[in-house]
Amino acid sequence: MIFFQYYISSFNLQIHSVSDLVDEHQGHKSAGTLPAGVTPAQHEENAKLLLEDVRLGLKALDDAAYVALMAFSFPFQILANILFHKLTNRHYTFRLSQAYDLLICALVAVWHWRVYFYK
Amino acid sequence: MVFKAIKEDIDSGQFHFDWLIAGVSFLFWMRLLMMLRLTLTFGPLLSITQAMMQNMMAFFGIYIIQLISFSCVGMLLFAQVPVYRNLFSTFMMLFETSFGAFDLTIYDDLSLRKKYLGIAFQSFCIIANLLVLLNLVIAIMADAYSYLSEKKLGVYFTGVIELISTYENDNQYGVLVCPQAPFNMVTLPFLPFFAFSKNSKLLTKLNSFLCRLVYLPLILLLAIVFAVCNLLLIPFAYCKTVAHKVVLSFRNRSVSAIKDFIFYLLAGVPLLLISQFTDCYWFLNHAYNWE
Repeated sequence: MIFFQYYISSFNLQIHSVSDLVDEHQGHKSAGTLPAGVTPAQHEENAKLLLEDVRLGLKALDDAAYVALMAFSFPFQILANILFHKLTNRHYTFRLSQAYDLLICALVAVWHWRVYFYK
Repeated sequence: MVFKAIKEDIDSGQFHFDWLIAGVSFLFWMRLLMMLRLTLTFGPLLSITQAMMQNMMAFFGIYIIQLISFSCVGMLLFAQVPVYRNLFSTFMMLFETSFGAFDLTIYDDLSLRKKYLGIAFQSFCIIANLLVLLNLVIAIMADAYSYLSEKKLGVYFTGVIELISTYENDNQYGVLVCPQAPFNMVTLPFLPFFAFSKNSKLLTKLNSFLCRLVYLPLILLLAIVFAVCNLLLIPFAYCKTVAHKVVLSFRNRSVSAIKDFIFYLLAGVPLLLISQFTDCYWFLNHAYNWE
């Protein structure tokens, strides 16, 4: 969870810091203009720096996605739990925490599906 | 490309990827609370909070209904005031009022009679919410807390008892419920074997082996923490032992005690460093000992 939060925070920081700048850059690009007091060479340099920030942000998101993969083990944990109760003849009840785990798993699945969809 | 697609989706409201990640992040952290529920340190307090939530939900229902009723009345009576134009803005204004953020000058542009009616209406809302309901909820919470804090261990153990069927070890199938995610994936290929095998000897052996295997990452982490703590304590151990040897030398006044002191003074640090290996060995040995 700590790793997950670390990568998500890193992604958030990178993306939010460059989001407005990217918009501004796109605006200038589509209008064929340059920001005031910026030479074409500096503009190119700024664009490269922005791209690097975006790349770092997306890498952090990818890392967070890898860490979040552990959520896919939750359904197997529930399955093993059910099997354990069945094999040991113990009483099994589906707990709220297990439903909660399934919800996390579903959300992480949507996340991965969406990233796959974007790529 | 991905960044552009994410940004476009968020900006257009087609898919809020940011909400999804925020949700996952929130749920992951809340899961930690669920795991802590079974510890004696956090469990009782979390159980009390959970039990108090029922009271809170009941109160919240009453609170929302009365806010809606006030909003309906306000919206019909003071439609000339911009904030009373629709139910939502009225509701939000009264919600803020209920927490003490109110402005009685919004009625200044109305006729004198309506102005005083508006002030009286909002004052009534303040009295009903801020003085009566808010204090009521504090009283309910305090009462529930004092009632439950006496029984907190009972409330906590109720949760533990519910899980006894899971946490009582089994020599043949224990590994199915022991490991935490994602280490439980180690047992996944063996699930069919556990499900269909009747060979109890083999099941016990496999269970024992897998238990040790899934325990390995945790014990390695603990061993590292143990070794680091040990290394940090070396200077203190050295100083304490030297002081002790000085005391012994003065007390016994024997050649061997002085020899011991000089030997330890010179070779103490290397000895303590070497002993880290034996300490770590015995730490791992005891941690892995089934008995």
